Amino acid sequence: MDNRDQYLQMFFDESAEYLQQLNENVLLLEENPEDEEIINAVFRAAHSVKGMSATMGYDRLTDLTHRIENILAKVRNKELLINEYIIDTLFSGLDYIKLLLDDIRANGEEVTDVSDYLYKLEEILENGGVIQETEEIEMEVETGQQDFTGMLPLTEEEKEDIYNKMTSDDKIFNIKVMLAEDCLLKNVRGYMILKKAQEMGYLAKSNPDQRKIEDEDFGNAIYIKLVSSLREKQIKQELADIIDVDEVIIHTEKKEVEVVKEVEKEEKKILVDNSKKQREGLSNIQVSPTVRVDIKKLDNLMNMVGELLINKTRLEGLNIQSDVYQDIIQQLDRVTQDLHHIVMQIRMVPIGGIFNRFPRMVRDLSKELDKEIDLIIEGADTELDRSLIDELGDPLMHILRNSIDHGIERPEIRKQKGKSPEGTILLRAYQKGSEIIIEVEDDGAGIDTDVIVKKAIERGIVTPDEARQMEERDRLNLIFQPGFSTSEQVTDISGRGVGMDVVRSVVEALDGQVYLESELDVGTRFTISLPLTLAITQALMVVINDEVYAIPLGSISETLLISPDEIMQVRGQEVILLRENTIPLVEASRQLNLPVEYGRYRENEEIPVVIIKSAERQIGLIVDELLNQQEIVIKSLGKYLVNIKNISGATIVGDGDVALILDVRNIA
Amino acid sequence: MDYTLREDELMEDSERKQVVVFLLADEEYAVDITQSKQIIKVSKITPVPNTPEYVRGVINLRGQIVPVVDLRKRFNITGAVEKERIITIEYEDILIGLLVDDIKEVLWYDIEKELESAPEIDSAVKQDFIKGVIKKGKRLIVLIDLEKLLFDNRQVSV
Repeated sequence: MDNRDQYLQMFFDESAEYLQQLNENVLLLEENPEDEEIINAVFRAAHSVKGMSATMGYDRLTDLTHRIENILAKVRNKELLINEYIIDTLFSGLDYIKLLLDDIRANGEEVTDVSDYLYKLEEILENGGVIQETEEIEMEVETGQQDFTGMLPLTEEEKEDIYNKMTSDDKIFNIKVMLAEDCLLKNVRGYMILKKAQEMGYLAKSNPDQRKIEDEDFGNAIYIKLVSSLREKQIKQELADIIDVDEVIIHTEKKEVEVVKEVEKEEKKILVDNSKKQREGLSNIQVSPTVRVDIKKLDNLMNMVGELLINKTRLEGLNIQSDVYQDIIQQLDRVTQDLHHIVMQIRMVPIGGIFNRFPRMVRDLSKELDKEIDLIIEGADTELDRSLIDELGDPLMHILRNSIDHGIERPEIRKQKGKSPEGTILLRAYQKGSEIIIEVEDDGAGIDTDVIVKKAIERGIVTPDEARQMEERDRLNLIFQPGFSTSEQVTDISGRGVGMDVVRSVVEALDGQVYLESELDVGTRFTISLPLTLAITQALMVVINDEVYAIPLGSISETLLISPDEIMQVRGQEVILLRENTIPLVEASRQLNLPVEYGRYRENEEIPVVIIKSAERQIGLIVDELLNQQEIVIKSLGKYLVNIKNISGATIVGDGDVALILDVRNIA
Repeated sequence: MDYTLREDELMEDSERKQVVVFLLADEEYAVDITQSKQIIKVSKITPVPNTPEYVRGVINLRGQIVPVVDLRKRFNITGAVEKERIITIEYEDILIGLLVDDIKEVLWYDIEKELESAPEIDSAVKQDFIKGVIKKGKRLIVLIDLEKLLFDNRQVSV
């Protein structure tokens, strides 16, 4: 990876982060238009994006964020009052930033045309609720259309440089000098212009730069950023006097450097003033000692830990009778366990990362649909494995869209039903035992199973006869069937062809489950449960039809060796008695549909049985042989083999062979 | 052969593609080389229960679990197998092994001139899995449509 790529990656990562902060904080700003802390946070984030874009040389982004910053500056100086229009404009500005970033990511350059939007910003600057018109503002309005500061992006160092060189008398002038079309010896003219500028003050930057001018590698315009104590008129005159100069346009900057200074001061203040805790959701840009790591590297690390574990297990298998050996094994065991724990910890990220994008979505959608919705987020700091986080965004988005579109009713209908006109969606995450639970709950219309069943019959998912025999719960779950969509008309919001079936398959691919509860006119709750961590678990190794399988210890209560006499028949079902409990027996090879003759175990003197436990009952799984208990690294079977009955994954055992992991949840 | 070569040289802008040619019961088949990752000898394949018959099982490929599809079974080709090789291919981020008889060669073909669609040739392969037939003189090489082969029934579960 060359340097540029590295910086680009950092640029994308960081700008995405700032964009997220901007989205969050603009949302907060809408609710608390007077809150200076929020305004400052928005301002800082916009300022950072501008700085980064300028450093990377993305002019449109720089220009766009610069103007957004201008608006924010006015808001901060109370020259502009926050209203809905401004908030909407800010939001669409954030969308434009995202579009430009997407452009850069996809094509390496900015494609999206933002000029209309920039014009809109200018309009706001001009008319948008100005309280007091000071001279300064007027001047900016006057020259606003000619704001070409975007042609002169400054790096942070350059800004620092300007700031250091500026005295109180100095101003910053953005100058555009147009050379005549038929200008001869352009390089000489250009050189003279720069020289003249240098005589008048400090030449901070020019575009084209001196070298390009000497090489005559430029069009007819030269942009200059000049720090000078001279008056605008004087500068204009001096430059216009140079031969072949057609036009000189000067835009006096609204003391941007001072703004920077202020911002820096405030940042420091906030950093120091820790007692003034940040508001909920209000992000602080503060430097913490963290490192950004490519997730692939973590995956590699995880794999290495896995291999270490496999080899440790092999080593243990040697079982050498020596104190030193035992000692080493113990140490190794401890270190690998710690290592595993740490790697897992590193991979854990707060689910807030995906929750954060929802408030904005809910706001936009509810506005679009004329609904009033309050989104409450709980447990955003709940951590789970990064690989899960990446996959969960879309399913959650889909469930939320469904709640907004189909769940929450319009205010007038809610009033008729005696509910508060404002609907509530609760998005909540928490850890429960070794599982992470994510709930999306709304107080909307609920799901009418009759409608569901009708649709399902129309779509040919079930026959009327089948539907009649279904339990209420199963009727509800019809919405998870492929090809099901409850919306009468396909709306823009949730009727996108992907349905709840996708939600379910994604969650199940992550070894999780999704439940649905709903009550008419009371609301609907989706519950997603996911394993806390996937990678490593303790398992019992068993042999079934000459193949080694792993059964996670979490689902085993004990193992037994029984004799055929202990097997009894109860209504055609083989059972054993274990501490006065009747436990049904099932044969593993039959559960797995293995191509062998079933029932052969009865010929053996000792029959190995694994007692599988589930919430409701226990079951005895007959296997061919019980092996050892060991730590296994759980690996997915990949995207080709999905939803294999009774198999949840695979692991690699000591000799490099693959052992499948039994999913006993459906057996017990 | 010479003639073809010269023509290829003349037609520099005509689009050519490279394929890996392999054998199934003495017939020649091919997959796009950009989709092929490597060729491995068959070691232990762990069978996976509750999967279609043509899924031979999974292998451990440097720590990654890779499913292996038996192409003979997939195409319903019978007969004795002397040798077995696995071509690993990557399609839409999915790494998968194709179990074939043997690997023959890697060759170029011209998309315009040497690839014929809708083959009416005698092939054991279901027409659905065929992208086209590459004609090299008298040789006919069946070009396999991986998308259809792998995802005809996207959910492999039973």
